[in-house]
Amino acid sequence: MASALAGAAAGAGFVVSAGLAASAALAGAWVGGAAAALAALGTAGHMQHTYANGGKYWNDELSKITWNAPEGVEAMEYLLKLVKAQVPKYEDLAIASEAGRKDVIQITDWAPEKFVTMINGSWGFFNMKQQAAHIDYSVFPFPRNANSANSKGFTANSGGWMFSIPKAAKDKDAAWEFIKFTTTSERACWFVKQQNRPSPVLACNEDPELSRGNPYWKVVTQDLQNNVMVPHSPVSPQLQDIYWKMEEDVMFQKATPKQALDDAAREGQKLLDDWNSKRKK
Amino acid sequence: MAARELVETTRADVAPRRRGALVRREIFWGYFFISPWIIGLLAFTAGPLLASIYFGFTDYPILSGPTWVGLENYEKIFGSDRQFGASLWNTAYFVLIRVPLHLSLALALALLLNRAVRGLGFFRTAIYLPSMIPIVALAVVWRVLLDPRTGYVNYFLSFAGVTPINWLTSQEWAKPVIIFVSLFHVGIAMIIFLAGLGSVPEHLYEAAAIDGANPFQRFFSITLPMITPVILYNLVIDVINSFQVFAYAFVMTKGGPADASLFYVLYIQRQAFEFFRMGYASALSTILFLIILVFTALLMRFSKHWVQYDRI
Repeated sequence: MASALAGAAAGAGFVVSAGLAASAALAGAWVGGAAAALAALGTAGHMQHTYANGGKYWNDELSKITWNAPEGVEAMEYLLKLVKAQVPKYEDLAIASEAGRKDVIQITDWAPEKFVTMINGSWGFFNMKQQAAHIDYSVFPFPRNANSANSKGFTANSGGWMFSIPKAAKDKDAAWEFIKFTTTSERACWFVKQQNRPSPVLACNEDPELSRGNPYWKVVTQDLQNNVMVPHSPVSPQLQDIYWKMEEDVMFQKATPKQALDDAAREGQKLLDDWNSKRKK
Repeated sequence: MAARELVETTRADVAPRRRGALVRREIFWGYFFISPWIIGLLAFTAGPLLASIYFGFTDYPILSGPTWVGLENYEKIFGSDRQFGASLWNTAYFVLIRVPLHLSLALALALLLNRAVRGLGFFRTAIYLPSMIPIVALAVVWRVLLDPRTGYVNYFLSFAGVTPINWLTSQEWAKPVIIFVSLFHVGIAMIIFLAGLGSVPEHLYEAAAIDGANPFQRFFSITLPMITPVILYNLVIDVINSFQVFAYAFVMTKGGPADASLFYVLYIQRQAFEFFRMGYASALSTILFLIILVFTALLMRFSKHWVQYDRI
């Protein structure tokens, strides 16, 4: 199955901060504009911090779960420390509509507190304008672990829009040409510009009209360059369920970071093995 | 005399034949008039039920056809599925707590509204009205009201010195809150109880009053036994509905936090429409069908010990 990135969910991992109730001790460990952020937990918190810490969730061949490697464990320990430093209970961070899942801190929930959160796409600017225009905020690239040479502050792109060509498609070449047209052509640049979204073609993002006076557009384009595509499979939604649960188990302190990551890795590995064995048949 | 005998003999010969024809005609028209329901039952209930049982033995990722895998789905469910147990426990908790609460509340309200007081129509309407609200709308409204920072519930509790409670994001509160919100649909059971109370003969109360029975004695010796068929009906319906609880959690908590409100049907929905594992979801559905069937059969089986049909 061939696929191409069609609409970049670019910026999956850059951080918006509105003031900061930071913990100085933690701020020393991770550097970046929002080092001691109450960064996004739930869905993408650990994944993003693992990639930023030089780790991966699984290998590119989709055969081995790697979120329990030292980079992942370190990232989870950091997140747990971060949460403990900020709130008495993890549930204080969760929002009612998702209850610990998905985007834990929503812009609409910012209210009077000082928060740092992660927004998952350039639409975050629009949301800020619409729902929280009164908030004075700044945007920074995703933080990296200052204690690790492997940590480059990369962010994981696990979403976005994909065009896929099924194996059984009648006219694969024509489909491929269509995908190239809709993603990398000049018209594709125009198309994403109309939506005020970044393009997977970096040159398109240099167009000053695209930023429309947004002072933080450079963070978006910079993040795109540091963005790592996470390979996906049909079992990705199930894997997601496993690693969401893993993160909740740690944050609700049902298990230690290492325990939760190892247990979840075992479960995820079983799923991947099962899928791979069926794929080979 | 002879003519009379002839007539009676003829009647005796013809009547069974005519009666048979009449019965057959009645049967035909009976089935004819209920045929839309029968077709609906076959097409939309029995058909999908049988299909679901079949798909439970297959691997069916929707995009490709179902592949027969035998008992594999059931082996996974009972062998290694961590969320199966959690969702079953959450659902059992919901059924065990919610059903008695719901029925008691419905009966209490029905008893209150069965009295001849001024403005009875208004009270009946006011209490029934929330039942008209779709579950999704009710859940959305309560999600807003229960918001820990901006919701009115915490706001009003703050006057009593209560610190803000994370109603929907705390593992302790999520299920009780969902049960509480579900009680706003009490009106339907209440109306049925009200109808049952209306059928209790007045002369029984009069006789009891003459005998000096107090209100509690009248309730436990007359009202309650007389409405046991209605209680059984509400109980069966409530147990079935409670096992199938879905929308409240889907809207208010998405099953969180940490699966604290992951109810069984929500888990089926997740398997079917998020993971596209139709075979696995069908197997889960079959298990739920069997659980409900067993509970319903048990309720019906034991009902003969406490339901008194002959009294009405």
